[in-house]
Amino acid sequence: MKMNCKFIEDNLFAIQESLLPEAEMAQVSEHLSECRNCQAMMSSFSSFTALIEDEKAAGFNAFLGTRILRKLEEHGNPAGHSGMLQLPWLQRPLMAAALIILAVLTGFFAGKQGGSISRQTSRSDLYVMKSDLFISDLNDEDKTIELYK
Amino acid sequence: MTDTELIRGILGSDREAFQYLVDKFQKQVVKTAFYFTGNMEDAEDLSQEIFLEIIDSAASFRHSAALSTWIYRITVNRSLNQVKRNKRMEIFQRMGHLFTGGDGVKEAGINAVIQDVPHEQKEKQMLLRHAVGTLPENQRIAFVLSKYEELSYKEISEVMNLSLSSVESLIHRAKLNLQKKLLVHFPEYQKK
Repeated sequence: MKMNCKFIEDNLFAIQESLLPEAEMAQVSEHLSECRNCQAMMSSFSSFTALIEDEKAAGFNAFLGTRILRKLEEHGNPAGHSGMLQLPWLQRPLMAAALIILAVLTGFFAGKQGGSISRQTSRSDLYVMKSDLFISDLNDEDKTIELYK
Repeated sequence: MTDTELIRGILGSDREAFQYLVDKFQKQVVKTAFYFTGNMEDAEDLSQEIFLEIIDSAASFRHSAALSTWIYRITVNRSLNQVKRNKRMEIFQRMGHLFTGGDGVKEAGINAVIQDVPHEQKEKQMLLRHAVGTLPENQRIAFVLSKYEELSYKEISEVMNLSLSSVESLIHRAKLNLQKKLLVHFPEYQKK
């Protein structure tokens, strides 16, 4: 098969990277040696692909590493990021639920504690009342004693 | 430091681990981001976000793949998102210029201005970036990782979660598409 220009056009990468079978590569070489247009086309193509190498050589800010490192350190404590805490949408509801439970429990225990105090108070009040009565009784007795004297 | 030790260090907020992570992967991250966005400023900003994502999601790293593969995945995803953001910005700018009568859109993203390069080469660079940038997404990823990052087909298949044959096919089609896109800019082709 005689190589034509269309074949070259369709296989620019394959020709440049020598990916074609040996026999076809030989025909390509032969065609390129005769066809000026295809030679120029291959040369244009090479000038484009050479730019990939230029892109690879592009440099970047020498201080970028320091900047990134500072950012990472400022970012906080990644160790604390356990699986669940990495779900921000879950953090707020969980926090709210925990606060509600804490509030309910505090209220419950405070109520319990308050009840026993009031009960104690009323009992001691009773003792005071009883002692008052006793004293008043005694006073009365004294009075009676005095009366019987 | 092995991948496992590095991840353990990151999870423990170890400064040395952070330093090692940045030293080892900085070039890979910035360059890959640059190849996709075509803009070094974007790539540098993006690389900070990428490293933050790496330490934030270090706990979810599964050791089934190499750390570099996992980092490539994050970098490619972030970079493609940035390219989409740039395109949206470009559309808004274009619309803004339509109403305000500005002098056209500043080159952004894939068409970013290349400084310190002769005009003809600069133009070619922009054409190449545009040609690569307009390839279908999967072809673009496979092509960039192969030609620019020089990853093997196996490594690309791991980054992209595809079979080897799919990667081969993507790269083949990318090359065919790319040569077609470039061909129209060749003076020899235009003469025909």
